[in-house]
Amino acid sequence: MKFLLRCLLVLAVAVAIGLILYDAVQALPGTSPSSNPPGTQLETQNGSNAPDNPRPYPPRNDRGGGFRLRSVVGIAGKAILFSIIVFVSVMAKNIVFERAPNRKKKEN
Amino acid sequence: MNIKLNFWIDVATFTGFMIAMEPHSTGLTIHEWFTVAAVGTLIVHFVLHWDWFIRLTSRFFVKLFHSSRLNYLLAIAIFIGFTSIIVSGLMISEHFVPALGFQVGARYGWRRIHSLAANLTLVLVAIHVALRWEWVKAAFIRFLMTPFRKIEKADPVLTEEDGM
Repeated sequence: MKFLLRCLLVLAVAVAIGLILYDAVQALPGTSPSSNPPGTQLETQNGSNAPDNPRPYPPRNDRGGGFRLRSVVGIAGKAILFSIIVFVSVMAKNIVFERAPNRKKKEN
Repeated sequence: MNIKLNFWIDVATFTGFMIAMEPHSTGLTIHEWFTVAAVGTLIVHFVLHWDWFIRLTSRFFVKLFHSSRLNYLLAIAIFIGFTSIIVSGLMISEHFVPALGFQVGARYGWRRIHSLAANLTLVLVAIHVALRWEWVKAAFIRFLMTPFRKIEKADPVLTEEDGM
């Protein structure tokens, strides 16, 4: 019961943050429902507001999925990037947070 | 706290996050449904660390210069990061939200927020893992390298509280 209540509280906090983010983004001038990304605005037939490179809204590339080589390489790339950041952060942590106690030990 | 459950939830969350970072690997439909389902594991992860979070909130300024304080702030940032990913993901949803009977107008800004939040959260999670590296290493050895061996005494790193 306590666990469930805590889950609900975490979810409520997430929803609150989500609503704040939603309001903040909706208030931005470039993200109104009628706004489109640069170069994708619809042109009128008489050409008065015709953009140079009219395109429809860029579709998300969904080819139905499946573990193709490109996807595997993508995941591996992210995993390698993650490992590098972990490695560098562990080194940094050892330098920043564990040097001071070692010095104290040596002094003692 | 159940260390084994905690470890396997962490492994599942991490694996899911890495796969979700590459939406082409599963296709958009699975990507959207899968990530919405993963919200549950994230909430469980946060709730499993509830006591740590509450204690550190009350003792934050007692021992300020400690890796646990940075980890605490990182945990909050990661929580906001994942919330941003989920909200922006729902706003650009092409399968999940329409399947519920709602229509969201695709907005260019949300896509940028979605990818930016995902990449930033990946970096934050990596630093979060690094700050608890001793625990991750001990848990990896205990539950993956020697899962069937009887250990008389568990590694103290697995049971100690971070920064208390």
